[in-house]
Amino acid sequence: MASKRNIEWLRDELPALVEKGVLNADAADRLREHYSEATASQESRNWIGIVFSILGALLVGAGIILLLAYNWTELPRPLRAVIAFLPLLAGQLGAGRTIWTWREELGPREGWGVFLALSVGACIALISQTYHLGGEFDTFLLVWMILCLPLAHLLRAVMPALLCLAGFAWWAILWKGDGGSGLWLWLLLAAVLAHSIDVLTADRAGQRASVLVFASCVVALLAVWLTLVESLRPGIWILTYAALLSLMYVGGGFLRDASPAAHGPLRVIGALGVIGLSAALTFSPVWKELGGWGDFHILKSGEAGWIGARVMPFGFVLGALIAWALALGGRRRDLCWLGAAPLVVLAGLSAQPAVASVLFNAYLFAVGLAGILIGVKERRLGRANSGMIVVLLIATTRFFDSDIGFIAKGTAFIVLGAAFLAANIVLTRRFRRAAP
Amino acid sequence: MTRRDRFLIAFAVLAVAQLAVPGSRLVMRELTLRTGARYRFQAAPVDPYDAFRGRFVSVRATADAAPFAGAQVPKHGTRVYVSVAEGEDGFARLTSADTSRPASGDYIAARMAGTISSNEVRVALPLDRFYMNERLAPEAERAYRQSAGARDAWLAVRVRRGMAVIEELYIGEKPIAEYLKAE
Repeated sequence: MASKRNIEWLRDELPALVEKGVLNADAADRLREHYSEATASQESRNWIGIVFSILGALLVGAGIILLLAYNWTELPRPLRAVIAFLPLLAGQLGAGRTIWTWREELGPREGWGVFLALSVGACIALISQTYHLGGEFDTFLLVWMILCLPLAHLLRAVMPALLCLAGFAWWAILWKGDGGSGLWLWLLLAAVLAHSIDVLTADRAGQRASVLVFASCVVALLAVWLTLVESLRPGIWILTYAALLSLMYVGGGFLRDASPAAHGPLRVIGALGVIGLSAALTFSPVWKELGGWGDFHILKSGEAGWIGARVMPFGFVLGALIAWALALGGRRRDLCWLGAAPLVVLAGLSAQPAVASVLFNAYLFAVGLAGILIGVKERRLGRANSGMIVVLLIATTRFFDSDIGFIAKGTAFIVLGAAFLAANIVLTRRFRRAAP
Repeated sequence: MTRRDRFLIAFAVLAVAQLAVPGSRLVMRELTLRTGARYRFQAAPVDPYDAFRGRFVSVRATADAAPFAGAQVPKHGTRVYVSVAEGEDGFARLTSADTSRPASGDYIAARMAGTISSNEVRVALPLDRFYMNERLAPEAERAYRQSAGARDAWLAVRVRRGMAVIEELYIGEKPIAEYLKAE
């Protein structure tokens, strides 16, 4: 079976072969069709293999951890110590063999990566159990993850990277609770991405890179919180999250061609994040009571953390504004609406809470309306509907507003719902008529 | 050298590190258990649950205060070295704590846990859990509760070059497993 890379090479070669007269256009089309079917079925088979390998490794690894956790006191100590190393050695042999044979299939690489990563944790835990080691769970977690991190690079696998992201995030939360700095999570996130460079570059359009980018975005959002809790400046969290989310959204939009795998997760997290944050900011109590995040100042930790909590927001805001300006100046004006969130936050921060909440109502309404208009103009029903959903979201948030009477709310909902249904019917008909 | 060769060498280094971290823990603890000085620490067991490491009896040595021998009391969490000696009742006593290792005698590396007075500190000894299997750990907890008082429970601990390893948990003069069997 031809590999995906070879098929892609052949597809790239076809126009030149037709031009030189080696193949006629019909033969080239037949080859394209044949290999698109071949890759589709091959990919589907590959994915089933990968999923089963990962699930199998996860189940076996978790089973070994649970069996070892039982604490077989009947066995002598040296024997328990030897048993602790058996799964680790098996994992190392399997992973080593995968590198030795330089296998291209993802199943063994991902499967052995998961199994070895779990075996490392099981071995350290069993030694701790056998010798009644106390110690802190966060130290155990950090040592375990550091010993697994290179597997992402060496096996060119995404599962060890995902495991490390989860482990490092967990460690960072515990570390923060002990008075440590949240900045460490940024460093660890960068380390995971650096070790996953093969997956991110070789699999630019694939699901593995998408999952990794998605998980990294989630960890970045957590890292912002862990870094920011050291800040005492009122409203800084609103500005930083708005800047990071809009940067993800606009940046993801720019990466559509360069990195399709990063494009999707960045756009989804960015868009959902900006809309969710904006919806929360339509309530004035959020500005009044959470704007300062004052209660968290007790977690302040050291000078580095203090500086990080001030430098990081500045960096994100600058980055978001540059990205927004590029979108505005270039041909990506569709990105500008959600990309403008940091500017609206800046305006909101300089106003009274009641005014700021009105400003965000207007902003969300504008985002929704722009989505509808862009959808109609570009004949994209999905885009138009997403705009309508944003408008409905404002209506829903206002449902919980006690200042507006039931009759007014009820009437507004019926009108909006009817408009939503009518617009969909009209748009669907228009798009159908316009379709070639 | 091909990319595969470089990856194989890097993997070999990683594999050694993965073996060395638990391996060094094992060797140091085994040496301490085989050659360390034996002390008795009074203890009070309870039973929390650790999903990764099975069930254990959470123990706390009642001796956790020591006179501070250094010039300035260090902050919470700082590593200190606590000298240990046997008291008249046969149980271990913490005789002094300092940020540097004592020149002679047995000592345990611990963490600062608080200040009692200007020259006395509280330390967190690395003797906080005794692992048992999930069936025995709750029984051990019950046995303790049914016994007359926490003073019956004690830990046999081996001490060597700053390292302390729990050898056994006793209730009265019986190891916990034997005590549970006899009940």
